[in-house]
Amino acid sequence: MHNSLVLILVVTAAVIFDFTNGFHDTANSIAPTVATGAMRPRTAVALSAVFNLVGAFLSLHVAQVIAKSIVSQGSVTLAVIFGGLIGAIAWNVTTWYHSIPSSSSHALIGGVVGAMLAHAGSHAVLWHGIASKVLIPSLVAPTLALGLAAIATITARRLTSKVPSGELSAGMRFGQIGSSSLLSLAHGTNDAQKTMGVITLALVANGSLVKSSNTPNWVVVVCALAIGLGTFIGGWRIIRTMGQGFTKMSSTQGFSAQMSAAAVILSSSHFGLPLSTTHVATGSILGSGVGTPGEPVRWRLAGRVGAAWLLTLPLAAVFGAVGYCGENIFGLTTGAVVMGAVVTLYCGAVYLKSRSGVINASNVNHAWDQQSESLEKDKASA
Amino acid sequence: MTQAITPDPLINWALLGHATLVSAASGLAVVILFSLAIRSWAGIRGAGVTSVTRRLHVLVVAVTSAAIASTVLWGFLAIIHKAH
Repeated sequence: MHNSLVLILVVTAAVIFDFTNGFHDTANSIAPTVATGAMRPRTAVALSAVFNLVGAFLSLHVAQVIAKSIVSQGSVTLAVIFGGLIGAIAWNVTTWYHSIPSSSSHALIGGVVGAMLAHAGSHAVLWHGIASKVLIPSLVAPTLALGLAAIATITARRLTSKVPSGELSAGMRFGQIGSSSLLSLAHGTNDAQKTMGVITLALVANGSLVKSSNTPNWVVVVCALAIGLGTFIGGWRIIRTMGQGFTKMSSTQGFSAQMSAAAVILSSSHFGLPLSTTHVATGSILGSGVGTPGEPVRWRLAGRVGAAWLLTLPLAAVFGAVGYCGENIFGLTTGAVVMGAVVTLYCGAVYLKSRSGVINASNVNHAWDQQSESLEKDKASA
Repeated sequence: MTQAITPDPLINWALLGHATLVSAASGLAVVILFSLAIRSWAGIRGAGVTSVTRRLHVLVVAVTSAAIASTVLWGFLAIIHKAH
């Protein structure tokens, strides 16, 4: 079925989602680099943007996790994809406003599942796939990263205990530039690919592309630019949470956290295990705090972030279902225009509200408000 | 003739074990090598170091740097391999 206007809206929504994915996940690669002063904030996001852009071009095959493992392929329509995308955008913007590092991939999966539930019911959702590809990895990833980063931090601190602090700091900061570049590259190959897959799926669903076709070049270019631009804009609120909120990081902690995260993400990708880069990066930062005796770790904040992770799938699903139902009320074409406008207004309102407490490159490293957060000593490492 | 269809397990323990081992080994290896490189780099620049010790430090820096470069290159190739 051809519907050019809806297809244009779906592609636009996918590109906007890719953009939000970029700025939402900038923190995963560069939060420790910014927090320890290894690079200036603006330089760090620029470097990350370049590597995300390059990573997106390296990846030329379509990721089909959503199409194959999450929902029944035969039931996917343009309306479902659009509902899922606007649900994911709304959730990403909401969590960004609240400075919460949540998984953009889980938001997209939740949005699509919600839209699919509203469209075809629960039989069209592959619950086994959701459990094995989404829920279990979201428990494994942060735990593995936390443990590895804690051991890495303890080892690095012991090996460098006699090195003068100035030289140690300079060396570790140099290492952080390399580790954050590697993380950015891995992120570009993983996340831009998902949006390319969604757009290709929409083109096939609309009959504009033959099934089993390669991703068109313009889709690769647009997605690469969108994620690169999103990364360059920098999700400063989330960078601040990850860099300053969980624990006060030294350059040794920052390097250990980033190298552990890079090792977990690259190894799991190599073995085909779908992990969220956000969950891994957050776990490794917490682990670097655990591996530093006497360094306070804000477990209450970590708990709030964990709760948001649990809510990401169901709430993005609600947003996705509302988006799909809204389309149905007004008819596909008019409904897509109306729901697109509603989400645009919502995002605009959230952005305007965020202007009252702007966090940007100039204040991203200011001390965390200790009155609003209770510092809890890490008893395990003391 | 009917065939019994075994559903995929929720957790593939073998794969998870492999991924955990490789993650831990590669991550810790780079952190240890880099820490040793920094320690030796500081040793090269330190005062009152004999020429033999200084040469030993230079050797450690060279070997660890090469090992780190190899590991990072492996990571980069893993990305390319996965992408294609």
